[in-house]
Amino acid sequence: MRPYLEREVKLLARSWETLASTFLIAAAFGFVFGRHYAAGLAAVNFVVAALYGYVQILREEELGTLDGLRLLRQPEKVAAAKVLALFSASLAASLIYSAIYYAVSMKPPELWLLPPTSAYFAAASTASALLSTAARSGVTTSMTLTAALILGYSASLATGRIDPAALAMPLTALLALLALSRALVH
Amino acid sequence: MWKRYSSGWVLRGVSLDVRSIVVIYGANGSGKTTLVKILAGLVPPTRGEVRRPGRVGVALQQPMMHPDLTVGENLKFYAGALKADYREVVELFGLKKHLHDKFSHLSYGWRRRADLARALLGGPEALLLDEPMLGLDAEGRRAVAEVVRRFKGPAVVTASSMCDYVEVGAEAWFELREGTLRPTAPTCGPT
Repeated sequence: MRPYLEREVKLLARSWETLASTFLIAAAFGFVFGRHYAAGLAAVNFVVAALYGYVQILREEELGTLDGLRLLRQPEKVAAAKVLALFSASLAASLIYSAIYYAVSMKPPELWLLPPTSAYFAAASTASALLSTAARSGVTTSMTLTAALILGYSASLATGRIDPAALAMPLTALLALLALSRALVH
Repeated sequence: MWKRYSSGWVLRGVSLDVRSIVVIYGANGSGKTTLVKILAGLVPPTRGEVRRPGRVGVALQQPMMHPDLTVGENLKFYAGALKADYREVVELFGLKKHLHDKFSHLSYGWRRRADLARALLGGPEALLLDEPMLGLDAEGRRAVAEVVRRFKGPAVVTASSMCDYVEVGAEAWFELREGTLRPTAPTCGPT
């Protein structure tokens, strides 16, 4: 597993333009959503998950490098490393957003929402991107799937409190992704 | 094996039993890359099946190394995933001087060499090389020919030009034309 994780972390760090845009988007949303923390959190995670879904997965398919990973015949490790990388990026963006939100509104951010939200969006985005590569379709398919998958969770988040069913979704999505990884990566 | 895309049939009943080195010659667009991808398990055949002897080393025309990582980082990743040592292939392809270079900064020929090194990591049981000499200089072509010649196991090498591949010492030559394979003999020079 370690080589897969190291590879993802290096790729995250190399794409400074994506890092910069993540920071800027998260900061901008912190200003825009000064009145509604949860709505801004959903927006930040959606944009960042879609962005990194492209950089870490869809671009790899375009480059042909995903074929190299497929040949290693370890799809669970590929999927796990990808989702962990996306989770880290989403969590970092959520923290930046929360800091700006606090600075603008002077209201404490609900930090407990961060881990499940980032985990769910990362799993949804990874699954969408891998599904669209498996189906030989493109970025728009991935975006449509991500948007569809996050609808229920975002609606729950925007009400201001996440119900138990929504809280269970990140773990369910993650387990489903790993179970499907053999079909999605190969 | 049969393969159909939306544009029509690419392979029409290709049957191949590879025991040692086989060169498949074909013009551009004849289906060589599709055949290699099916043999590698990257593309499913429409009909038919492929039996592989074990782990297969594959190098396509489009290198599989990530352009944002250095040659060393790419090789280290694959070596780690395969629990293999990458020093031998670095030596074999003269990659030591390029280990710290970003893969995307290399010339096409060096990218191909590095990707061939990746394909050989961990001692695969079979080799699938899609036009491995394309874009290589004389030294690179010699290195590839030697690697294929020394390889102990089944190897399929595709070629769009016969001359470069005479040196690999193939046991059999085939021509892929109109979706079928026909035995052929290597010729070098104007055809």
